[in-house]
Amino acid sequence: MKKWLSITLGIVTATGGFLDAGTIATSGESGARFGLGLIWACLIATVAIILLVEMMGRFSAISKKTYAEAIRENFGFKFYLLPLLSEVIAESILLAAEIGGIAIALSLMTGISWRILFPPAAFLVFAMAWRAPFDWIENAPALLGLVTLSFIVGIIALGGPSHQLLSTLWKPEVKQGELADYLYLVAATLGATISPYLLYFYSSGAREEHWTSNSLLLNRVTAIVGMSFGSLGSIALIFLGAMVLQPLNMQGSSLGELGLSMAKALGPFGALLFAVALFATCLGAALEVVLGVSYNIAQGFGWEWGEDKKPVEAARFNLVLIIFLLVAVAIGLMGIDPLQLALAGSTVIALFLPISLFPFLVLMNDPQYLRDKTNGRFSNIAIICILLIAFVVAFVSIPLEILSGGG
Amino acid sequence: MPITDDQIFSIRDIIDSQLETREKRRIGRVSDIEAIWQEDGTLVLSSLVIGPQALAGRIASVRSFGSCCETVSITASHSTMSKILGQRCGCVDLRLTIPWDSRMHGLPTISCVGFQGAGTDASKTIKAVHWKHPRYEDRDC
Repeated sequence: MKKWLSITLGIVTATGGFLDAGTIATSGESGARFGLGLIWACLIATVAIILLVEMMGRFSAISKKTYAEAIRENFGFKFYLLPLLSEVIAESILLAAEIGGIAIALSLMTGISWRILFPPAAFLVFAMAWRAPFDWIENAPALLGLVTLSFIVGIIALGGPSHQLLSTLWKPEVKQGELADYLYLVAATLGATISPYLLYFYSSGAREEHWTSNSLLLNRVTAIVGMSFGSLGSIALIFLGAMVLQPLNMQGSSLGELGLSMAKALGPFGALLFAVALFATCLGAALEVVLGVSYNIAQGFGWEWGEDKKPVEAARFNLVLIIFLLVAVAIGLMGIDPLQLALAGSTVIALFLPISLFPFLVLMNDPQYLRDKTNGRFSNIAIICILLIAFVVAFVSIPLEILSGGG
Repeated sequence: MPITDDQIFSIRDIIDSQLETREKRRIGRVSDIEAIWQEDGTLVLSSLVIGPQALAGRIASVRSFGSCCETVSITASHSTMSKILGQRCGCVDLRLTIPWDSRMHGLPTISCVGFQGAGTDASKTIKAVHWKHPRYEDRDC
């Protein structure tokens, strides 16, 4: 009974915790600008994250090591610096976007400017990361994040997509001069979903919860069912953007603007649901990002770590957490719109994905860590292909986007 | 006493391993090893170094990316080094024998049982190094 309760909770948290500022920004803007023409990217990214989450849980459960520990031990310190630096650069931008997302959600509820609410939002993240036990951080925002499933209700309330819109599923409408924007959004979609911070967090969570080889079923079901359900929220946002914002020629260029689609579908209650969903997903993701980077650094350097330990027992881990949060606050206080930050952060993540995750593929094929549970050929080939697509698209689209003055 | 495979580690196995107190408190990863090479050919491990200074040295070193051999600080007179190494110099990967009980209690004396080119025998992995670190020797953790 306890086992099935754990599996149910795992599915629920994976579903509710799937979205974040990056996925909301990319999905909403994708729908508003290109109809359903980017759902393919969302589906590919979902396959990748399912495979990667399953692998990460399997790795930590069998080897009893986290990903950061294994990189440092297997590849040495100098190599470890590469994924670490890429992670710190990309995730500091993303953390600023997540905190901005919380501030915008509070702004939608209160009417106060999000810029004023940014510091209190950062303090909320700090207070929870500092004091809340691990299972609160893992479960509370994710349970609240189940509100994202109301996006599907919004689509039904609007009467569903037209046949004309459905045709953009397989025939995206990319107008002349918009190819750079389209590729930029493909890269951002892949980067937003295949987030290394989620993997560092998941790997550390498996150790925090003392997973063993008996946890492999829980891990597999959480990865496949939870992430699949979670991606429904992302796909639903693309539909909403395409059904409401695109006909009005709105670009979906701010997080608040994306909420209009739910307001159109369900009235003021829909707008409130969007605000709650934005708040819960961004809070959950902000905690995962800040802890993911702190875990990475503390485990890589061999320091004491653990969210369930008192701060004094894991002092350096908590110091990293504070410094990283302050860096993100400094970025956020520059006043850049969180949606643009989220898009930029997600695209940079896509660019760095091979650096972040190719070492992981090497580890996943090492019997010293995984004994007889190493990767199969399909998993290896699928992940290599998806990471290369993400890298190439990001590598091509970022200069194009800068040259065209978009983004 | 014959040396079993479990008793042989390369320096690369030790470098970057987790360093813990006997109370399982994680205090850092091995960034550098300091050892004294004696006239009789034995290598005495004098310190496991952690911290930014040792890491900075590793970052600054552009030679043999991914290898740890340039980070090992070995104290020995020129004549001792020549006697042991002969004409061989440069990047060596030392093979060390660590008595099992020494691994659990304090810094051991390690016998050098051979050396070879870097990367040729770095297949073993120490899950955790349970040596007591000098800094924490007298601390009641």
